[in-house]
Amino acid sequence: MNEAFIYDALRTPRGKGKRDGALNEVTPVKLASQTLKALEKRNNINTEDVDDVVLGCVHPVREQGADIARTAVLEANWHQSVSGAQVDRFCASGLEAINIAAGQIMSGQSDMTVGGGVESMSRVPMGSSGGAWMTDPDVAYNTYFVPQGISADLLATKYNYSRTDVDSYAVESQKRATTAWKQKKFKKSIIPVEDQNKINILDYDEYIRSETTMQSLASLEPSFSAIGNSQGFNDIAILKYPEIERLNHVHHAGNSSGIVDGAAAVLIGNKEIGKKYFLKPRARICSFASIGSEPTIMLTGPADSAEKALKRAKMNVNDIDLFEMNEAFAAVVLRFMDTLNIDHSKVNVNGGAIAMGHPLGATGAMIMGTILDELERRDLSTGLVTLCVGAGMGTATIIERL
Amino acid sequence: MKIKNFNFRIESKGICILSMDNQDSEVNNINKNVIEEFFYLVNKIKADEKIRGVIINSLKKDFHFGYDFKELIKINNSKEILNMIFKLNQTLRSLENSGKKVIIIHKGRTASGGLELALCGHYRIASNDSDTIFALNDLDIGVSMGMGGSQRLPRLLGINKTMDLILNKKILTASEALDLKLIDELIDEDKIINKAKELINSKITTIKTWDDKTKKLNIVKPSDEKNIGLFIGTIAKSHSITKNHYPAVKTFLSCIFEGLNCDIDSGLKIESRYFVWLLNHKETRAMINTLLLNKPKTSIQNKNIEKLKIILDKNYAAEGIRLLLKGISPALIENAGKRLGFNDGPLATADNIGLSNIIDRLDSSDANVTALIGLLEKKNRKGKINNAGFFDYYLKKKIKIWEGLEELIALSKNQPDVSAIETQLLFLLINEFSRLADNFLHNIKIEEQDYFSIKKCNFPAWTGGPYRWIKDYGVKNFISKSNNFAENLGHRFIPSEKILKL
Repeated sequence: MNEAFIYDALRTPRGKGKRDGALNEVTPVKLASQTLKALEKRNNINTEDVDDVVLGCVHPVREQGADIARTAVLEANWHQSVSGAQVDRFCASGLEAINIAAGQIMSGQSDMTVGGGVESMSRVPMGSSGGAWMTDPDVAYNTYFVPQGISADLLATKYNYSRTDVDSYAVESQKRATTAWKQKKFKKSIIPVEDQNKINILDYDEYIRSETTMQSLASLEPSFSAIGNSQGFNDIAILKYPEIERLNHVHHAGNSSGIVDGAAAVLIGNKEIGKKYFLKPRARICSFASIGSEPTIMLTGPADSAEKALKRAKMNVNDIDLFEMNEAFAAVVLRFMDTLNIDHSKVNVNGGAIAMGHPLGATGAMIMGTILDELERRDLSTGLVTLCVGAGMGTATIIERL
Repeated sequence: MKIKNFNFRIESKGICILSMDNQDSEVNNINKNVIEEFFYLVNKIKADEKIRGVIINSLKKDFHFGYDFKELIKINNSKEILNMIFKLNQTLRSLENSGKKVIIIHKGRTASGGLELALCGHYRIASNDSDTIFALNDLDIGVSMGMGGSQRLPRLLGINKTMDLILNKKILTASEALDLKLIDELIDEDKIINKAKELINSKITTIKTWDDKTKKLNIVKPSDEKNIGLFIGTIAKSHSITKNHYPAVKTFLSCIFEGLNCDIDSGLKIESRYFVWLLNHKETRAMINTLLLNKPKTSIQNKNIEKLKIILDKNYAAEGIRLLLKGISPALIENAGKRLGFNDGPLATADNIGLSNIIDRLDSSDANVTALIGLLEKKNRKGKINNAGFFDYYLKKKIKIWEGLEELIALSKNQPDVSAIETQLLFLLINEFSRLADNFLHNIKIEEQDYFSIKKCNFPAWTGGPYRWIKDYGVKNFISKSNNFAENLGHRFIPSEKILKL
C-alpha cells in the first residue's frame, strides 16, 4: 500500500451562521473555491496534477447542490481535468472527504488529491435536504428517529452528565479557544475570506464568546425540552431506552456546537508528488475508520470509530498524543473521554465547536488542520481526529507527523 | 352477468342511475361480488356512448360503509386480496377518467370507505339533514384507507387537512363536510335526485385537478422542504402515542408520504399494497374482530363495569408495587405499562387510586410490604391526592419518581428486559379479567367481553381484548406460561376455567 501524506491544510474563519453573520453574503461555492485557490497558491502547484477534489457537504441542495466540489474546482479556475465529488457522512463529511482522498493515494489510483468540506449554514439552513430517515414514516418509525439534540440529552441522561458537567466543559472550550486566538495558534491555517476586490470580509472566528462563565450559561434555557415534550420525541427516546424515566435536558445554545459558515481543504499526495513540488510532508495518514451504532442515542460512535482506527493502525489509545473530538454537544465529548479513559488535557486543546462553531460539512477537515498545527507546535507525533455522526455513525482518522 | 348488489337503470337523456343495494347485508359494503359487479357495470357504462353521466346513490338508509371486513379477513392469501383491491381501484379510476359525469349522492352515514368510493366522482352532493354524516374514524378499528382515499383526499384538501381529519378520527356533519369542501353542495332530500340530473346536463368538469395536464396540482409534495417539519412532527407525535402497536397510523402516513411524492396511479398502487400489509398484522385482525365484527348490539350497566375497571386497576397497580419490592427499577415498571398501551404505569396508577385503596391487594404478612407501606404512611405519601406518592407531583401534575424510595428499596443489579415486565403485567391482567369478568358482565359472550374490556376497562385496543389475545398467542402456550407465572409469583396467575375451556 502507498502512503498518503498531508502536505497542507487550511480553512476559512467561521462566520456566525445567521443573517447577521459576516459570511452570510458569501456563497458556499465561493467559500470552497477560496480554500482551493489558497492551496494552489501556498503550495505552488500546477492544478493539472490534482486528480480529484472531494468535499464534504451535509446539505447538498440549492446553491450547495449539483456537486459543489466540481463546481468549486471550476469556480477556482483550476484545470478542467480536475474532477470533484461531494460526499455526505453528516457531521463527519469533511473528515470522510479526507479519508476518501487519502484512500485514492493509498490505493495508488491518484497522486495528488484534496479532501475538505464546505457548509454555509446561514444560506442553506440545517435540515434543508430533508431525507427519508426523518420524513419517511416507515423509516422514521423503524429507526426511532429523534433530532440530534434529543439524542445528546438522552446520552447525558443515560450516562449521568449533569448540567454542571456539561456547562463546565463548555466554559473550558471557550477559555481554550480564546487563549488559542490570543496566542495566534490558528494563524498558520486560516485564510481570510475576501470579496472579489480582494478586500477582507472576515479573518477570525466570530462565534467565540470569551466572556462565557458558569453563571452566564446557567441563565440559558434547555434547547430541546420544548420539542422533546410537545412533539413526542422524549417518549420515542424512552420507548427505545425503557430504563430511563425522563430525559434530563442539559444541552442549550451555550454547550452545543455553534451554527456557522465555513470551508476547509487539505492537500494530500504520495511521496513522488511532494518531491516534484519540493513539498515537505507534514504528516502521514496512519488509518481511518467509520462505524455504525444505535441510531436513537446516535452520538456514541466516536469511541467505537476511534478504537477501530487504532486497531487498524496497530496502536492503542495511549499511543495518541492529541485528540480532536468534535464538540457537537458537550456530553458527547465527555462520554468519549470517559469511554476511552482519555485525559481532558489531551482533547481539543484549543477549544472546539462549542466555542468556534461547527460548519457541518467542513468541520472534519478544519479540525484536521487544527490538530496538525498543534502537534507541530508541541513537537508531538500522533493525533486522532473523530466526530460523532448522524444516524449513529462515527468516523475517525489517525495521523502521525514525520 | 347477473347483478345482485346494484340497481342499474338508464333514464332519458343519457342519465344512468347506479344505486348500491347490497343483497346480503343491511348496509352497503364492498366485497368480492360487489367488485365484480361494479367492474362489469362500469365497463358497460363506459362502452355505452349514449350515457353522458352516472348518478351513484344508495337504496339503503346509509350511503356506504367501506370494505366488508368479515369477508376480507377470511382471505389468507395476500396476492388474492391485492388483486381484488387493485381491481376495485382500477374500476374507480376508470370511472373517474371515463369522461362521463359522475355525481354522488350522500345520504345517511358515509364511513371512510364510502367517502373513498365517492371521491372518484366529479361532484358530490349530500342530503341536508342531521342523519347525513361522514365518519372518518377507521383508525379506531385499526384500518387505514384502501380505495384511494389516502391519495385523493390529500390531493383534494391538502396534506395537512387530511392528516387532521384522519389522525383525529373526525366524524363530520354534512355541513361540516361542505365547509371542508369534502362535498360540493347540500340539497334537501326531496330535490336531490333532480339536482343530480341537472348536474349531468350542466358544465361541471370531468377532469380531476390531479389529472388536468394543463394545470399544476396545487399541492406541496411531502418531499418538499416546506413539508419536512410537518412530517417529522406528525410521525413523532403519532409514534409516541401509538408506541409500536397500531400499524394503521403508520400505514396511513406512509401512503401519504410515498404516494404524494409520485402521480396518483402509482400512489394508488402504494396504498393498495400497504392496505394488504396492514391486514396481515395480527393487531389489525384482532381490532377488526373485536371492535367491528363483534361489536355488541346491546349496552351494559355502566355501574358494574366501572367496578370491574377499578378492581383491574388495583391489581395492575399492586403488581407494579410487587415488582418494585423485588428491586425492579421504577422507570422500567412504569415504561412497561406505558409500552403496553396504558396511559399510566402501575405505580402512577397506584398514586391515582390512592395507596390506602391498594393495601388490601398486597400481602400484609410480607415484611417488605409492611415496611414500604410504613414508609409511605410515615412520609404522608398518600398518592396523587396530596401530590405525594410513588411520584412527586406539582399541582397534580406528575413530576418524577420519589427519591425516598431509594432509601428502602435497593435496585437489583440485573434488571430484566422490559418485555419480560410487559408480559408479566399483561398475563396478570388477562387472568384477573377472566376470573372477574363473569361476575360483572353476566351472560355476555367472550367476544363481547373483549369489546367491553377495551371500551370500558382501558384494555389496550391492539390486543383485541383478553380472550382474543389469548387465542392469537396460542391457548396452550398461554396456559402453560400462566402456570409458570403462578408457580413463581402466586396464584393470581392461575388461568380461569373459562380460559382452560377455550
